[in-house]
Amino acid sequence: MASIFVLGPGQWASDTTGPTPLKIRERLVDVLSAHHDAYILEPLAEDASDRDLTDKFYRTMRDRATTDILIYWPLEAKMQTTLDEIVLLRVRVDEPDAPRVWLLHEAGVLKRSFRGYEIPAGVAERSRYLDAINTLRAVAYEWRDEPELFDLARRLNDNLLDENASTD
Amino acid sequence: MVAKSRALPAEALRILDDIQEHGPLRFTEIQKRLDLSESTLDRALKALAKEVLVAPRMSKTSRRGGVFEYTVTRRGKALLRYAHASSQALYRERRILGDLVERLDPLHA
Repeated sequence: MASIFVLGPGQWASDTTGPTPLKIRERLVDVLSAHHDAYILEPLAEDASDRDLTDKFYRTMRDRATTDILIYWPLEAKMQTTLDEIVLLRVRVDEPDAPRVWLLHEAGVLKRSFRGYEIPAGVAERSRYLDAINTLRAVAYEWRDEPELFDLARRLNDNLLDENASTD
Repeated sequence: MVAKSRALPAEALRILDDIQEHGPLRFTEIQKRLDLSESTLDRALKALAKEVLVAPRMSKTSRRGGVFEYTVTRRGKALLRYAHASSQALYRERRILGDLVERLDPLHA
């Protein structure tokens, strides 16, 4: 059974109707929880022993023995916190117990062609965010609408059934 | 709601086999090995990724981007086993049936 930390935005950047990105992430957790331990980062509690969200982020990964990170990346969402979390992942990407990283991004987040990918201007303006996304070695799947997103999540679920399943 | 599924392109199994045997592989490496056009390979890899049969891993090559290195996922390996087992089973049946296969009514073949 995999232990999957689902990252992503909580709110839209504009007046988008429909469920919030946080609600969509919670639905992704429901899909993945059919076979695995899947969760999102809880808000920092008043009486928490963690000094800050960075502490909480790493402690969550450690306490849950995270094997996989799933990053949900839609367009038109507030991505600042997620970008910060991506940097935190990048810091530890070369460690032996670093989790696998799966990026489920909406079409347009990465410019994909047969030549490869490019991170468009506007996605990550600051160089440390750009470097982090680019160096994360994530397995990146593209979706165009919600049905495709959840189809990907269900198929990914099958792949993660085997703890020894390797993407290498 | 489940998104509508589409059949895989004809070259998909061949590409999957090649990545399984020689991967991880980049687009240009697969193209060269299998002598496929860019558009054919692009279409096939997109279809394989949509089904999560391959894992396109980001590999940085420049400041703003990189290439994908493809490996076969657990789902992809299962498909290959199924496809190879099916073709082997069919081959055995044909050997047992001999020329009867050729003499079957085409409508019921």
